[in-house]
Amino acid sequence: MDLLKKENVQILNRAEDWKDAIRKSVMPLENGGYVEPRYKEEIISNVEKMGSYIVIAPYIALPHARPEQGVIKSQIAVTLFKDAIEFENKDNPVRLFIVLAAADNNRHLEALVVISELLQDERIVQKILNAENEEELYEYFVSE
Amino acid sequence: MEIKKILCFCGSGLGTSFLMEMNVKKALVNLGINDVEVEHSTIDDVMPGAADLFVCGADLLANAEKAGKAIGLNNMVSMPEMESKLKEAFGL
Repeated sequence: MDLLKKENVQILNRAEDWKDAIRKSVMPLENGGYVEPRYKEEIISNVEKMGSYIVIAPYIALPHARPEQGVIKSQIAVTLFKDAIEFENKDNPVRLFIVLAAADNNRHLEALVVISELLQDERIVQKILNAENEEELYEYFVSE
Repeated sequence: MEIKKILCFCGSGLGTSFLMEMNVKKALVNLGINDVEVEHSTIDDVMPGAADLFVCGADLLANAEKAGKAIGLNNMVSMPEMESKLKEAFGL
């Protein structure tokens, strides 16, 4: 998957709340020049307006906003938190944040297909959630 | 009413809804259901008549039910959940 680079995969201990978790998860893309600084705030404001649509499965969130909300180049960032983070009005706490930055409505579809296939396999999800370092975490995403 | 068109939606109409569209299509194949149009969009397009069945995350289900028949998913990548909820919607 060419949309995920190793430097955009990170394992962090914790976040203050879901907003802090989103800001931390988007940071690699901001530092790499893939998104504008406003991208993380656009995601947060979308969630506030439209609910926690980014929580796609137990322990997994897919934070994303629209291309015109601050995407420069298509890219994905993966952050795994050791402590789970609660979302408002959601039963599922989240540990894995897969941030999507899509520069157009088609470019990221290939990556989404790969991510979806990967997450359908519960054994792989367990391995991902138990990853001990960034190297291992990155390999689960690119080895498919 | 016969289901001929399914609309998957989320807040942005970009990532989550597309993910659901892919999995709805996959589940329909697994269930042997043909000739159903599946699309993805944003919550803004959810209105009565826009589709015969709406598919969304569980937290948006109340919005969808105002527009018609709807399915709310707890796990959007789970094929067992998708297949059992589609089966029920299609009355299989």
